[in-house]
Amino acid sequence: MSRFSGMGVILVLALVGYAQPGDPVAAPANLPLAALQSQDQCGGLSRPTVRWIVDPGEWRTVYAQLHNQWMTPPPPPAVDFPREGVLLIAMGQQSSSGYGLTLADERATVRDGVLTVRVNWREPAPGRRLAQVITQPCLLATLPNAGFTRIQIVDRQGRLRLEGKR
Amino acid sequence: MRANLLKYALLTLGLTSLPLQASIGDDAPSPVPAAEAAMDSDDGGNPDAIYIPNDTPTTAQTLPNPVVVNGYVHQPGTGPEDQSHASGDIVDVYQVRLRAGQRVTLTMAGDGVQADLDLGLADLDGNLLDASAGQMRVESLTVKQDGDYLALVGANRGASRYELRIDQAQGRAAPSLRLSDRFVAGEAIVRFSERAAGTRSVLQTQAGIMGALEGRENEPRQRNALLNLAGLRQIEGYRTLASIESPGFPGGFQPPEPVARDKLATLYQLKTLALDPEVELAGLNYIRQILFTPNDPHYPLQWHYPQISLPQAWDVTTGANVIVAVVDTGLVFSHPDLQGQWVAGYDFIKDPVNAGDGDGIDPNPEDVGDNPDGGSSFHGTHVSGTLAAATNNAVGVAGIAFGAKIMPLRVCGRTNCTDYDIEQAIRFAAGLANDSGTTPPRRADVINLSIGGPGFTPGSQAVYDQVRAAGVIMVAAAGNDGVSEMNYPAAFAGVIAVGAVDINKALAPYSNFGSWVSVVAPGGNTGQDVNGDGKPDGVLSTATSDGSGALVNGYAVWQGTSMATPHVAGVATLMKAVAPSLTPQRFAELLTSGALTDDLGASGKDDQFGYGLINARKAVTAVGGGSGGASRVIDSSLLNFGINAGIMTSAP
Repeated sequence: MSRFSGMGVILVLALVGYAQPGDPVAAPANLPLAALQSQDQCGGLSRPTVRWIVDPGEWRTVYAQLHNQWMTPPPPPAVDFPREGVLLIAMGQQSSSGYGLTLADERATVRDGVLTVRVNWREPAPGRRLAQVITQPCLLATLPNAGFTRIQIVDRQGRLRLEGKR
Repeated sequence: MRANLLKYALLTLGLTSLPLQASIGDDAPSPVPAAEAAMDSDDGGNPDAIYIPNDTPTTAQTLPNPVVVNGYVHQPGTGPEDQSHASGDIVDVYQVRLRAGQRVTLTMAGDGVQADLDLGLADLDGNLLDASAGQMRVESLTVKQDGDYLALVGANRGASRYELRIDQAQGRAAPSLRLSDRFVAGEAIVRFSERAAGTRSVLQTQAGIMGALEGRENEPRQRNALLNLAGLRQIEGYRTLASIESPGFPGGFQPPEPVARDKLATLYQLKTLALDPEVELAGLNYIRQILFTPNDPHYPLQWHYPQISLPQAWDVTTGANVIVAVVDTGLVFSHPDLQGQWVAGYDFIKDPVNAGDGDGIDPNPEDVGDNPDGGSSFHGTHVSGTLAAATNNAVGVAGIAFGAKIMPLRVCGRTNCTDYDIEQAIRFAAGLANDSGTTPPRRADVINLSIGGPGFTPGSQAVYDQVRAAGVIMVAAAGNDGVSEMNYPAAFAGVIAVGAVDINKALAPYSNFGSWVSVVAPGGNTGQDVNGDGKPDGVLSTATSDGSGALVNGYAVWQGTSMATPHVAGVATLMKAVAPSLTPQRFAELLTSGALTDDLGASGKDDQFGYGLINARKAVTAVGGGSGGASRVIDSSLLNFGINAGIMTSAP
């Protein structure tokens, strides 16, 4: 039941440069995105969150927290730090099933230091019958460690859903 | 008078005979019949009564149920100089139809020692089935099976008026010595009274000869000793006492089995021992059992089971031969802790797009996704594990009614769960006509609906009425918005609406509430770890994840009224195992009577917790309950407890 195609990261260094944090990117650039996980139950993420993770230790800690509701948490997927980082996007606590996050586009853009990621921000239509379980949907994706300073999460309609700093 | 006899007497001074007011919730599903009042037909002390003997099985006085009877029994030559003074009226025999879970309670005006009445239940031939033969003012027996019985009130010593009450068991039974208790026949645990150093009473001496006090010669204080009552009967000191020992239950009623006869004899020997001034305390040697503790490795993390007194209920039943339908996202059949736990179900998702499995309704309720991108929450698998995960199999977690079978019915697909599909599923579960064109070989007994949403179609109520009329108990989630707005199907009439509490029995912050909420159960709060077990305090159950693209079965703690609901449905399933004839109506009556719950919040039913926190032990004890709930005494004027001026006036 795989929902994700390959997890490999194709760097487009010619467009973006192998940037360091804080380095401005002069022109719009595309970055490849690869979904690591999309799940309904992300432990500890009761509030909407966007977070950029480039430290292996931080990655292990965050991943363990996300899976603390499981009796046997899975090991964190391998990430090629520091060449790439992990973007964590969380919707915050929701009152039922029907909420979720997946990537809407396999590429992100960086313009004027702002990383923009398009997601399917899935919410149930009002009035529907739904499973009455509290959910905390989140999405983990890897992308090249480019030189952006801010992060914007937009839905398929282009509406800004979340913002964060690097 | 011995000190403990005085204590018994003093205990009586606070007793009153206030009428009990029936307690019926505003939304009780049906009127609860009040207990009728009756009088002992051979009450020689009652000048208004027509004297009709009721001393034998063939002359038993027939009683309605529920009932409160006022009567009088006495040994010959005791009590007032009335019609039966010389001959005695040793036993009153009543014939009554009883239901499992009902309680028969005898409250005597006497002190329970010098005026000592005993209570018995016998079959219609007079074979004693159970007896409560302590030396208390209140004796009680709980009915184990539906049937016609003889209720016996006997005078073991002296004379006393009494009140015999038959109604639904509520609260803990009064302490007593009961034939049905598990104890060692022929043994007693005794502590002798303190005496001067180096001296022993006759009884103590004889007990010493029997070896009961071996090695205690130099001990400065008395401590419990185990006495062999059969051996004690052979010694002179005891024979003196034995002259006042009654031969058994008043009227000569005896159990048919030899073991039960030995146990009954032990009860009466113990009464005699307790009267010996050389004996400070005497009791039965009870046989204790270890509460069933599953060996599932994650069971210690399932705090939510002790919270509803589930282990105690497991000593009664595990839900065998009961079917509980889970109307949900379907089931992950590959989960190792659900193997062998289900019967055939159905996929009732009519819209192929919503179903996501290439067709409309079909016989395969496997969970193939409940979100638009094809993934799933696997919600139905978590709910099913709480209901009936394979238990004591050294794998994973325990389920509440693990002896029962799950009937998975898929209604929640990639976009939602529609009312129409839900209605078809519950009709199928109830064995009613539905769009599948089939019905299950055996209908479900209980339906779990951990789904919901606002609003309803007017015609839906009729469907829930029909399912309820078919005898199926429906339990549904109150919802997770933390509001009082009604959530359906929980808010449909006839459906048990379940709110959620956390590990501290506080209303969970997300739980909906309101007058329409029936009951609460553990739904958890994953934002805390109050018990410090290293895991969030959610409800732990079977879970499956596809978040990484592969299907992974495991175990996870979730929170929600979805998680609370199977706790109530699971308890209902246990109740059905004990009492297959339990109807939704009767379940509701028991719930409103308080027989299934621990009251939380404001006394009685309230908008936060409904009738309180479900209690599995109480529920399996109460099942099959009597024809009424709380009783109301209509006329107890003949019962004189003699509380005036603090003087006990039981018949001498």
